Order: sequence, then structure tokens, then C-alpha cells
Amino acid sequence: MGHALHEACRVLKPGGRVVDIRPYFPASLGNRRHARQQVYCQVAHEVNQVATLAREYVDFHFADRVVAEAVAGREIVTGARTVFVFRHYFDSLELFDRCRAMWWDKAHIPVADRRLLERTLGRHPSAVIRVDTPVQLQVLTKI
Amino acid sequence: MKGVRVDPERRETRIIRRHVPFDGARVLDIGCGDGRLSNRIRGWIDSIVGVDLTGEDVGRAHARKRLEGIARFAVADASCLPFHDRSFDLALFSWSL
Repeated sequence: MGHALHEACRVLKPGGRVVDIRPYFPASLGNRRHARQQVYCQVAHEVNQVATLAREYVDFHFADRVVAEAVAGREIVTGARTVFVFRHYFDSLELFDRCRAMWWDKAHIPVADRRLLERTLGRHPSAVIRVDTPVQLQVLTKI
Repeated sequence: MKGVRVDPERRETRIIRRHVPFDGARVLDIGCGDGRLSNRIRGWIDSIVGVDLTGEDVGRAHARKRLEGIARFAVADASCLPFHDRSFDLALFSWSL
């Protein structure tokens, strides 16, 4: 997707905006826990963190570089930026696994975390699996 | 997909609304998937075009009745968009840049 931002700028009118929404995994923070997706089990109002989804961050850093190059090339200027938590909910482990394979195929779940997730769901079959992903929204304006 | 809920609290939609002036915009949703985000912003925009590499997802986006009349979707490569220069007001990349 290296040229996708360049193509977006081509089809935008001058002053048009690019809205870039994607997982926020800042390696520079040196905080690996923060950079991972957190997996929770929810039973009624009780919420327990049971696992993490970890992945390599190369893809997201590549996107950072593409944006930085477009800014340096005076193609766009950066505007508002904010970070928020984006949530996915799954009613079963099967659905969680199926979607994980589709959406987060590069992420892995540590063996111990997986066991804890399975044990928790075994004790609470009606539990809902929640995945929290830190996400950034950045608005870029075409020059 | 039944049994799966994506951002049901609509945090993403609220934050987009807070930071992005959509009113009357002609929007391009790049990597639109099944049209989830297009559907959520449909009330604020003039029209939207969604593109994705995956025909199956584009088919699901097409099937969203609420988008009839304001949206169209196509299979296209984001690195070679089949549109004229300067034809959109806003481009969305939701988890797709």
C-alpha cells in the first residue's frame, strides 16, 4: 500500500482531507504492553484481562514512513491527531479465532494466555471476548 | 458476522465526527471492507465511493440497503485508483494505509 496515500492525494481536490485511522503501536514508547492488543473476558459487569495479541510492528511503521515522506514532499500537511481505544466483541472462542485469522493473521497469542482464555471461557460459557486495540486518527490535508 | 460486534460503542464514529468536516463531502473510502464505516457516516455526506481489493467484502458492502442511492462500491487497487484527479473532498483509510 506504499503508493495508496499518493494516489489518494491525486484524486483529492486541493485542500481535501485524508483521514488515516489505524492501530497505534508506537515502538518509541518502549512499552510493549501498551503496544499490544489486550484481550478481555466479560461476564455481566465483570471484566478480566486474560491475554494479549502480539505482532510485529513493521507494517504500521511503514505507514508512518509513508506519511512522513508525503509531508516532507509537501504533498500533505498534518492536522488533528488523537488516540482512542477501538473494541471488538466476540460471542465465542470460535468466532474470535475465525476473525483473528482474517483480521490479525500476523498476531500471535502466547500459549499461557491462550490457556487462560480457554479456562476462563470454560468456567463462564456465556462470557464475551473483548479485544481492545489502541487506534490513532490523524487528519492530513492535501496542499 | 453474527456474534461479532465491531466498535458497537461507536467511538470511532464520534471521534471522526469531532475532527473531520464531512458536511456535503464527496468521500472515497479506501479499503472499505464490508462498508462498515461508510454505513456509519452515511448521514453526514453527499456521496461515498468505497474500494477494496476483496470482491467478497465489496459484495457485502453492496448489500447494505441503507447505503442505496448515496454509495457505490468497486473492487480496485488503492495504488492505482480508477478515478479522475481532484474528484473527491475526503479520503478515508480505516485500518488500510
